[in-house]
Amino acid sequence: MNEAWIGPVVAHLGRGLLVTLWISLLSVVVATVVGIAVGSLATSPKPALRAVVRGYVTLFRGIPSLLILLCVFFALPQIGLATGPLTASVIGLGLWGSANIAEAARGALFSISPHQGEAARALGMSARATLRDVLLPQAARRFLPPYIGQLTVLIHASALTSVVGVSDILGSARQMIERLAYMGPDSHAILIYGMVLAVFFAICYPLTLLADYAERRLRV
Amino acid sequence: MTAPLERGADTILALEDIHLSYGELHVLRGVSLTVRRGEVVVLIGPSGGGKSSLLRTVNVLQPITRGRILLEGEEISAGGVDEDTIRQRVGMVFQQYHLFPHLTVLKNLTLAPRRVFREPAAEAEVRARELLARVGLSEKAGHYPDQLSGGQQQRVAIARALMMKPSVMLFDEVTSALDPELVGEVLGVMKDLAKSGMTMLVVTHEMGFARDVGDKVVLMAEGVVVEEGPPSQVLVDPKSERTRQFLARTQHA
Ligand SMILES: Nc1ncnc2c1ncn2[C@@H]1O[C@H](COP(=O)(O)OP(=O)(O)O)[C@@H](O)[C@H]1O
Ligand SMILES: [Mg+2]
Repeated sequence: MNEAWIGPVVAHLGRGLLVTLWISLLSVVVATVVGIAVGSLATSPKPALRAVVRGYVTLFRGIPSLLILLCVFFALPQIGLATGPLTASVIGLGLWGSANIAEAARGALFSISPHQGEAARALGMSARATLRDVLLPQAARRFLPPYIGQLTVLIHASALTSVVGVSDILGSARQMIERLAYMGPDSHAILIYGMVLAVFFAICYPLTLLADYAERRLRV
Repeated sequence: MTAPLERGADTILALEDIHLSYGELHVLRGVSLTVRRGEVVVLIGPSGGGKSSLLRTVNVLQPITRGRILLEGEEISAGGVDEDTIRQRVGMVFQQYHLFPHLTVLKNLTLAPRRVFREPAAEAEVRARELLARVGLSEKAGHYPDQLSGGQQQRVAIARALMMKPSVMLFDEVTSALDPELVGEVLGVMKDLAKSGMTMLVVTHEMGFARDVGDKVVLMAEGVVVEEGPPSQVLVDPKSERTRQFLARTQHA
């Protein structure tokens, strides 16, 4: 039995893993920034602004992530924005993820009773201290569990980017399997996909634990 | 027997011809009221009569449309006053407690004095433990609000307001949300507070409290003071037909 294939495969998967981590990180940043901004707008007193937020969230939550990825990849060049697969992936995943994060932020902010602010002000606390010590800590607690859950979903979704030509860990795995199948009797597909599976699990399982922990620590 | 506390004659709170409208709704229609130092004034009256609104104007949570409010002789209803400073001097306890759920009982008490007075944590904690002992909750300092009964939460809320050393305490139906068997422990704390000389303006449906603790009872309905006087007169021998109606209804409730 010849095990020489393992070295190059692992090296290739390693490079794919770096791409996966990079895309995940960038889309998490985009999704978090856009999501929190959009979610906060939902507390605006302006009905028109709230309607826009509703529309944004409903639209992006209603489309499969793969479709958004394809649309961004093929549509952006049409309007003159030449983007590589990586940029397109980050934009697509980021927008898709931001909708869910916006929903989580909106829910967290609205779950805090206005009486909490009033009770703090009645004690003579300033508006700033009320926000910092009473409202935001409570909103953050409500926000954290669904937010961490969304991070897991985003990392999973990063595996879709191979469809638009990104050499993420899944794309790299498929390239290796195809090459091995072409060269020899065994593509080692099960073993290689098993490695990918283990990697995703190793990244996401701690996040799941963290979400559970945050959930338990939540005080209503 | 301890001698009854001498109640000074100086005015802590003076409301002069207070009017308040929420848009078209004219809720307070010329309310005048004084609360002297050490006095317990009990505000009774039908729901929707404007009692909560009146308390909120005193704590400048609600600006008035007309009239004057004087706190220890200083007008607080004029524009340009520092609302945060006034609220420190006016303690408020709400029907639904509104404790901060993410903080322990101890932190609920120390947060505002630490932020507002910049009181050192250690000093604030000493005072907080004293007040918790006073409301009978020493052993609950490390608990979170959701681990307490309603009556315990309300006693914490009273202690939290007292941490600011207010000149006057406002109570808005603070036993109305409680199970009947928990009402007594909260009224007991309020009674002790009154005995210690605290100036109090209390909205309540507890006629027993009004009778036993109140120095003055004020009946408010439809945004005006219908009748006021000592409890022995207002509750027993009311002058106004409106008061008689109200008392008859609460006794049957
Ligand atoms: N923030 C508000 N906006 C509009 N109307 C209000 C508001 N608060 C109270 N009201 C109305 O004002 C009237 C008096 O209410 P309130 O002061 O709560 O009376 P009470 O405490 O005696 O029951 C009620 O008709 C109530 O619906
Ligand atoms: Mg009321």
